[in-house]
Amino acid sequence: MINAILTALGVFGLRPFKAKEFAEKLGYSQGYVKNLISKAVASGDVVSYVSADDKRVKIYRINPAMIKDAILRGGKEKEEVIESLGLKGKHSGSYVALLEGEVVDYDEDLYALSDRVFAVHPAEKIFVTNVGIPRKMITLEL
Amino acid sequence: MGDQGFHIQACWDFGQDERPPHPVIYVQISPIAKQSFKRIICKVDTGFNGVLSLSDEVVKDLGLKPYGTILATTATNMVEVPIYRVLLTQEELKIRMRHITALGTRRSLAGRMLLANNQWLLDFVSNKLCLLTP
Repeated sequence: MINAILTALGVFGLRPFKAKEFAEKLGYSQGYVKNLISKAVASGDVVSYVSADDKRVKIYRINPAMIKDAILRGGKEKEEVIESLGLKGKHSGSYVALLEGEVVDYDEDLYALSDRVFAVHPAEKIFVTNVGIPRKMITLEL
Repeated sequence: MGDQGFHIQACWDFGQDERPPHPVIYVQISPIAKQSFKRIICKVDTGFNGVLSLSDEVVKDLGLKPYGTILATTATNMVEVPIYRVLLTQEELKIRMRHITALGTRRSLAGRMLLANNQWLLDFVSNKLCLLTP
């Protein structure tokens, strides 16, 4: 995953942004940003569409599926995405339920959280993970 | 009624697929959105504080998709494991099509949350795990 895209996730979250805003916020040249974004669009990490206000302007947005894929892959990528989403401070030690990349619920108990979120949200859109070391860790002897 | 004031409701023979033989329990697992199901044998792991874990083979056979990954701790290290939402049926425990979270592990395991609130007998004479009723 491109580091700058993770930074963009940290800055914009899942809100739409323009290439110019990306360049300004991150201190990159517009040419570099356009190249970066085109690669991210090609890989599916970022989705693009034409602005309703000005058809010459493209709007970009981090693809929520990228967040889910990174979490399912686990390891370093998962850690980076969780860090970029700013979950570490508030939710460290908990399990979080994400819907379209946004936290919809959290709990120290994985089972209680899962039961709650699956009762009210579409199963195919919810995903759950730990933030940091869970306070209520699942242990396996084997 | 036995001497200890309990009654044996059901027994499962110890698993023989590894040495020494180990206690197992049979459960039925179904994917949430499909009609299919699979009857599986879970090794009883009293060090597992969850409900159930499913082997890679079961996950593949049932076509389960993970809804996340979590960090779990084993006797030797911490591992990242996938989690699945499935329907659990275990007739002897009066569990029918209950929505549960199951972990993905090397082999299928039954944890303490499945065993909780019941009395069990480990019979090392007959190599059986038995569910007791008061």
